[in-house]
Amino acid sequence: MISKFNIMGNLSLIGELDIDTQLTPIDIIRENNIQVVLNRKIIGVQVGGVFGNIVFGSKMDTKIENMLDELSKNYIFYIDELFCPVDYVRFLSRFLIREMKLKTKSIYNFNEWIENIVQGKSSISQFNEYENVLNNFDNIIVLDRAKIIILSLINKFKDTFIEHVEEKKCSTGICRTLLLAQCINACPAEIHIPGYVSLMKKNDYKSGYALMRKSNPLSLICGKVCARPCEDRCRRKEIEENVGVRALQRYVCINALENKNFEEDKAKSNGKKISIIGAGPAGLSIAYFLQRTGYQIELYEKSSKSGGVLSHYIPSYRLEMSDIMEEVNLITKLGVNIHYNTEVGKDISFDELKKNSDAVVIAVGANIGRTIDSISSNKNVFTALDFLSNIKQNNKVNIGKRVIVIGGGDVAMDSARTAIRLDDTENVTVVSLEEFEQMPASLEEKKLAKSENINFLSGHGLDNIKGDDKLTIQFSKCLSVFDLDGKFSPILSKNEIKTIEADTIILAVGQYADLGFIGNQNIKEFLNIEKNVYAIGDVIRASTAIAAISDAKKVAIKIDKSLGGTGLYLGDEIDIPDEPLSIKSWDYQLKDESIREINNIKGDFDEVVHTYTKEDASYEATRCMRCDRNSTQPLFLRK
Amino acid sequence: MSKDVKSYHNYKEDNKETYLDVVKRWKEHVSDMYKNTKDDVRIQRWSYSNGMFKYLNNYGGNITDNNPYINFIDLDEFNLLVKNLPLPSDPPAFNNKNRPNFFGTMMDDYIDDVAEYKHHLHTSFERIRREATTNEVPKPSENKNKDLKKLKQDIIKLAKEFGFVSIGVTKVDRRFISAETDDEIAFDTMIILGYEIPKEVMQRYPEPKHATAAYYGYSHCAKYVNQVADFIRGQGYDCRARCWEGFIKYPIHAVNAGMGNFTTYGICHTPEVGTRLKYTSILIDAEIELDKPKDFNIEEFCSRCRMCQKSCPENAIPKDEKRYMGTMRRATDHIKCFNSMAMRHECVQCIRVCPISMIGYETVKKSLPMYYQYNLVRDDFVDDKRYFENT
Repeated sequence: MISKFNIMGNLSLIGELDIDTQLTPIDIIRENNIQVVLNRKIIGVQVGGVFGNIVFGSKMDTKIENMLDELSKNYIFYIDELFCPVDYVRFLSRFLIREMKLKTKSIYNFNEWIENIVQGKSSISQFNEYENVLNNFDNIIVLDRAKIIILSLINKFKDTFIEHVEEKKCSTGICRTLLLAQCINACPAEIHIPGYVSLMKKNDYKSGYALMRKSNPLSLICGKVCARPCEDRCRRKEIEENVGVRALQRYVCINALENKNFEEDKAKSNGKKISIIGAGPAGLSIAYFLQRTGYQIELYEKSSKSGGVLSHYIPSYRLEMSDIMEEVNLITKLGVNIHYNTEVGKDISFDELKKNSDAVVIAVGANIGRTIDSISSNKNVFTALDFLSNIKQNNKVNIGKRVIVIGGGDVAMDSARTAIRLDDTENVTVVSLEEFEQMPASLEEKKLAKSENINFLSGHGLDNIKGDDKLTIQFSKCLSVFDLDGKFSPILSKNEIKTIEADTIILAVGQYADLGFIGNQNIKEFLNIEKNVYAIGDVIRASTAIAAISDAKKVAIKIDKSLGGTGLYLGDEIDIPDEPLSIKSWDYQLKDESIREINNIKGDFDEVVHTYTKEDASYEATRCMRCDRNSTQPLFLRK
Repeated sequence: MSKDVKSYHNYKEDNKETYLDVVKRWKEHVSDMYKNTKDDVRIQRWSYSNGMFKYLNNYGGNITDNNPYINFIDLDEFNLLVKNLPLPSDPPAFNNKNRPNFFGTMMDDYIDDVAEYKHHLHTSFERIRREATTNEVPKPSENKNKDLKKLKQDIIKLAKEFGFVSIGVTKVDRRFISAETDDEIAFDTMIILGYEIPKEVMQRYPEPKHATAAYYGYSHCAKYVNQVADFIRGQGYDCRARCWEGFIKYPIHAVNAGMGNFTTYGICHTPEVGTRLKYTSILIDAEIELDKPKDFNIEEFCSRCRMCQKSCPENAIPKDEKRYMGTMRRATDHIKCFNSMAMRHECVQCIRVCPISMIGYETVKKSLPMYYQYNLVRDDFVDDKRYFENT
């Protein structure tokens, strides 16, 4: 049957639509070619209005017809990844009271129960009373339905509810009563972004930089290469365009460090010693936090340079070694000893480290590239990590004229853009399972790669390879990458095959850690057994530099606590100015950093992105809405 | 003139009443008033014309009291305070002729057709005063348009043609009109008309050119409100145009009329143009259908924005809501606000930085979780009686 439905959600098409109720919600999206805003995934759907059926994951694979009942209204609401079930329940409680005018004691109790969670006033025992709270509802149809919805949300998203209750955190940043600003909440390291933006506006770069360093000692580096989750959740982006937060960070850091006279104090030494394995983003950061708090840090690095993934893999057109050293020097200035060319397990044993220190931190990162078993034996197949590190060490790598990069993340972009800079290469093609828009690499990297004439064969997966020297590779069309439950399970179609010839394949399909020094045990099990041993960064779960830095601070706090400390020393409090915002706040559009024009890309490994000028920075800073100054008072509900 | 002005004190020597006569007459008068007003909507006010109290019907009171989007904490407290301290007319700053002439000179300096502005403001204001306080009111046509639904549609259509963007109908809540205006409120049904101030006028701020924001709104309200009133008389109904000044507190009536919700700075945000408008109204002697209060999720949006509060040059907009006269509200500090209005060409910073007013409601509503939009279609659920049946 065809009838009119109101389509709701963060979609490219909303409003009234003729819908065939024989179709499933997912069919409707596909048939009408509806996109989700910012390429977020659809995780669930509510059919029939605010008291309608709410289903998630594979249960979405049901005909609309079968989700309707006699009380359904004509609404289909698509739920995407940016969904906070706690806020939905809060909304529902207000809807029952204000709109449905159900003003009984049991509803007010329910409202109070959820408001306590949203405001961070609840406890696990209070949360667990939900069945009692809901069972007190009067026996009327609408409340029965509300109860079913609430219970299914609690069952499906129990972890999210518990995160709200225990950690007082809303990871999607929707429960505003629990957070200072959406950008701060989205940053794994919780850098006070509006704070440094406003200090920058007053030309107080040093305070701005010092403020960043309270959460992130590698701010200059992040100012250049951060994956910037903050900008995705910039409140302004939801209304207009985001603020160029990372670009401002870069500008502040460069200006603060300009005269090489940035000074930092530290707490008095407490005589305790901590050993850290790996001088990557995680290791350097934890060294900084603990050294500043008064511990003596011995940092062991197996290679001859600091920076880990930053110095070994990230190409110099994105980040130069001098930038890394700038911040490493600030850390060594505090007294951190970095032992270069010292591999734990070879030059010094893990047990010895343990004996000599009050705590040991494993921060070795993930430095072995994954391969695809069927092709790894071919001599013209490289892992991206091997390729990138060889180029960074100026080793000659012969990759021929035609290069294929398999993968869709930032490492794939780095490999492709590095490959195109080599003298011999004529064309580079990135093949990814995801369509171009859905590829996990950052939009900026994807754009720059395109502008550097890199080809993309998006939405394809490897089928087979023929040949030894000259490779003939067949890719088949990828119909979907994730299943409805969000699990990685690509479906390839044998019917649509694309054939490409190439000299080399670079595999950028993930990486894992080398844990030889602890006998390749499972790191999580290992940590459970060992006392005073901690692990941070990619070694636990592959993620971004900023996530590793955030791990570092959290674990630093943990270590300090277990060794009897009184909390990390992060320097003096910094006052954040709160002058009136500009009357022209909405007149300015996002100004991206300018891109250097490249005439001949071959051999050009110089930085591509220009830092803001003073005018640009001040212009961009004017756009910040300063959400941190908002009240976190809950909305009033009239009794 | 007031209906309750009687000659209690103008007695003549030869016809002198005794004290007991006066008491008797006053008792009769009170009992008349009591009979003429309804139990459930009656309010008691001081009368400015005879110095004793009076009873009035206050049909709008019920609407306000039951409006879920007005943050009452304690209605009794509110009523007690309003009874003893009815709203004054304008703040002294507006009435004091000795203050520096900020607004007059501003109009002369920054408005291109200042003569026309002043003409509309003066002639319209004079006419409204005359009709409100004397019997010189045009007679309504003898042919009554009996179809009240059509009448409402026609009024809205005409008003929209004149440039009124946001229109709503509600009953006057006399607690929210200045006490001395009571007698001028001839009818209880009020059509609220909001005139849009164009974006271009706002965008020229902080240095206005060609026009200033508030006076653009005022003068256009003045220009057209009597024309709408004349149209209503042409349809056979008596009515009174009201002016754009502060005697009737429009924001709360606009929220009652479902035209919008309260903003961070305490006035009514409309989905059409936010706060980029000025209100005027017409009191009509016809029971046209009232509009229902509605939640546009504006409170939710504002709680995630607050640009007005953070950019107010005088810090006149408070960060948090506070309890005030039995309600929870964010009361703007009018002394600070007036100072800024006077010194910064009407200021209007709070409107100028408001995304709803300057970018548009349709855009900002998408920035909220989408399920909030169930509020906008609440009638679909509320009106279905089956939802409330027992299981």
